[in-house]
Amino acid sequence: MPTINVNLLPEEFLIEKKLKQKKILFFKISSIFFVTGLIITSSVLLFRLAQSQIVQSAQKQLEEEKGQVASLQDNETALFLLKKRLDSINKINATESIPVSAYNLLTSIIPSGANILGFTMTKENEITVTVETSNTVILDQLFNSLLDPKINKGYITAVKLENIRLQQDKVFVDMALGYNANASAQTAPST
Amino acid sequence: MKKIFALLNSNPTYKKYELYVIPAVAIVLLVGMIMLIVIPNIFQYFEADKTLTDTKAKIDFFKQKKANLQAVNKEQYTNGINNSLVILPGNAESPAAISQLYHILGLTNMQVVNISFSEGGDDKTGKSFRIALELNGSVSELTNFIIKLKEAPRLMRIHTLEVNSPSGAADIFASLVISAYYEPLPANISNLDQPLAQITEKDLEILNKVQNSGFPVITEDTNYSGPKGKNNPFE
Repeated sequence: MPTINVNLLPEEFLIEKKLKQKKILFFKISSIFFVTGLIITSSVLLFRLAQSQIVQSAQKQLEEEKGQVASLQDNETALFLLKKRLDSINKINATESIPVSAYNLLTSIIPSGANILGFTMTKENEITVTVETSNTVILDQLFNSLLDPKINKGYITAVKLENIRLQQDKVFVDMALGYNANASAQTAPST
Repeated sequence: MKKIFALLNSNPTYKKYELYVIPAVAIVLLVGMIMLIVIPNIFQYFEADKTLTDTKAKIDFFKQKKANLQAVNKEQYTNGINNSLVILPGNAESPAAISQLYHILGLTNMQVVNISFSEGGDDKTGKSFRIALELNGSVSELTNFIIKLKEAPRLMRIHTLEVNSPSGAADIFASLVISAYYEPLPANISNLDQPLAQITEKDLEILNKVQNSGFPVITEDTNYSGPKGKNNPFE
C-alpha cells in the first residue's frame, strides 16, 4: 500500500529552518576566512620579528667590527698621514721649474760660437735674453734654431728682436722670447 | 547581551539583513588586518632586507679594513712619515732649508753674494716661502747647482732665474728666487668609514731619496734646550 506523506508543520517553520541553515553556512564560511586571515597576519608578524632579530644581530656585529677597527686607529693615522704627505710630494715633484726648463732649452739650442750674456725669466711665459756672437752665420743659425719648432720643441712661441748692436767686432742681440711651458711640438713661433 | 539581541531582533531592518551581518564583520576584520598589518609589514620587510644587505656589506668592509690595518708595519710607516717631513716639512723650517742650500753651494763652489727671505704664498702647488740668492760662479757651476737642488731631499723649486755675464768674462752672476715648500700636518685625521689609503712601492721610493741623497739630514732637535731661532722668520 503506497504511503502518503503529510507535512503538518506550518510553512513559516520550514522557512525559518532554511534561514537558520543558511545562517550557519555563512557563519562557517566567514569563520574560515577570518581564521585564514588571522593565520596569514600572525605568520607575517612572526616572520618580521625573526627578520628584525637578524638585523639587530647584524648591527651588533657591525658595531663590534667598527670598535675593533677604531682600536687600530694609530695604524690608520700613520697610513693616512704618510699617504697624504706622499701625494703632496708627488704633486710638487710633477711640476717642473719653468725658468730652469727654459734656461736648459736655450743653452741646448744656442749654437756654439754664441754666448748667453743675459737671461731673465720673471714671468712664466716671457724670457728676456741677450746673446753675443762674432759670426753672423752663427747668428743666422741662432735665429733658425729659435724659430724652428723641431729644434725648440714648440716651447718658443714668439721671437722679438729688441736691439742689435755691433761692438768691437761682436754682435750683441737683445731678444724677448715667448715661452710656452705646456708646449706642443707643432706650434710654430711667430716673429 | 540578551537585551541587545532582543532589541536587534525586534528591528525589521536587522531582520531583513541579519544573514549578512557576520560575513560583513568578518570581511571588515579581514580587510582591516590586511591593510593595517600585512601590507605595511611587507614594505617594512623590503626595507629591512635592504638594511641587512647594507649592514652585511659594511661588516665585510670593516673586516677587510681590520685585516689590512693589522698587517701595517707601524714602525716602518712612522719612519716613512719622519722621512717625508724632511722632504716636505710641516712648517717653514727655514734653518734646515738654508743649511741644505749652503751644503749644495759648498758642493758646487758657487759664491753667495746675497741672500734674503720673503713669504711665498699658497699657489696651486703648495705653501712655500721664498729664498732670494745672488750667486757668482761659472755656467757649469750654476748648472751643477740647479741639478743638485733638484736632487736634494728638501723640496725646493726655482721660481725665477736671472743670469748675467759680462762679455768676455768666464764667470756669471745669477739671481734666483727659490720656493721652499712646506705643508702643515692635517688637523682632521681620517674618518673610520673611509677606505684605507694605499701606499705603493713607487710612493716608498720617494722616501729613499732622503737616505740615498748623501745630504746631511737636518731636523729640529726636540731635546735641545738652549736658544733657538724661529722656524718661521715671518712670524
